Amino acid sequence: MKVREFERLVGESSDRLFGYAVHFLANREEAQDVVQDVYMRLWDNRSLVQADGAMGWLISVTRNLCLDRLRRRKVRSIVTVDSDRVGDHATSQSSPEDDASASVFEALLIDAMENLPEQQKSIVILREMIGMSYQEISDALDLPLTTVKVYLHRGRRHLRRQLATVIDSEAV
Amino acid sequence: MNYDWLDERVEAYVDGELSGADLERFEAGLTESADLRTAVATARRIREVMASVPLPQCPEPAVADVLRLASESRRSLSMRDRYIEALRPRRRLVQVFAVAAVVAIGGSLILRDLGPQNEVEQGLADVKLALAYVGEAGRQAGDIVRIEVVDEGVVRPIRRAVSHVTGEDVNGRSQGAAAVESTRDN
Repeated sequence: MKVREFERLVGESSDRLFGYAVHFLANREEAQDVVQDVYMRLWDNRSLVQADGAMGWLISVTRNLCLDRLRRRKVRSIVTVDSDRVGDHATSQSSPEDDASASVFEALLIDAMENLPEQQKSIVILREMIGMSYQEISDALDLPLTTVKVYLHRGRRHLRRQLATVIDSEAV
Repeated sequence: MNYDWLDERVEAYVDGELSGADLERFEAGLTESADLRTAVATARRIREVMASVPLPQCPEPAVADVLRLASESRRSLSMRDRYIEALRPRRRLVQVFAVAAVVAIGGSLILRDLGPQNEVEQGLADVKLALAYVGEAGRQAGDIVRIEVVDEGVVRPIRRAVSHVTGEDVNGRSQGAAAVESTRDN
């Protein structure tokens, strides 16, 4: 991989890697450190990593570094709603009540995701939030395509069951 | 009504993947079961919320730091390291040339006529063949060094420095003209 390919790859992938790490770790500072670490590892291994298949490699290393950080945490982090993100999410057309309801649901959703098994959580983030295809996820996590689909189904079902009571209470 | 069967198919229904008898059975369940309607509403809401959460942007300084460190790391490479790095992708090509040369010379040594006159002619032919292989390998290596080491490591930095001093880009245009052209292109 040449310098220009490296620079292009960093430009194309930094938001996706950062987004994945932020959702995985629920911490922006740690996510930033992880992404920098990932790119330095890519630079050190540039003679071994082909530019074409680098995205899978990057996601795989990001996931491993996130897992390392989670293991190092002695206690589970308390998930807080990112105020910046909620601010971005709100639109001028929605009422304050709608915004509050959306924020609460989003916070509960993120909280529910914290309780997913690690692989289901990774797959839900990569598919629903990062927008990767089944095949890209399969390559990145080194899992068969059918396993990716099964884990995604289980992850979605788990979230739905966790959040059904919220929808129920809103309907009342 | 088998609720477990219906519950297992909520995701497929929301994704539009049910069809035929399964779809009819599921929609019949929807009319009967409030729990199933809630399940479908929840699944849809989850997808909407996830899709609407904007992807956080990686802070610019983090990316800039990475590119700077990589650039510094590259500058610290010696000329020899750069040469080795530039040749690395073509290493297999050079190896093939070397093996082909050994096979050609070795084969001709084994098969040649041992008469004195023929031996001299054969020897000259072997030398020419070996020189041809060595020359081709040298030409390939020279091209690689010229393009990937000299151009990238020497010529481009000098051009950038000159353009910085003269205010012209590498194509000889003033920076103002280049900016106007870039704006027009966009």
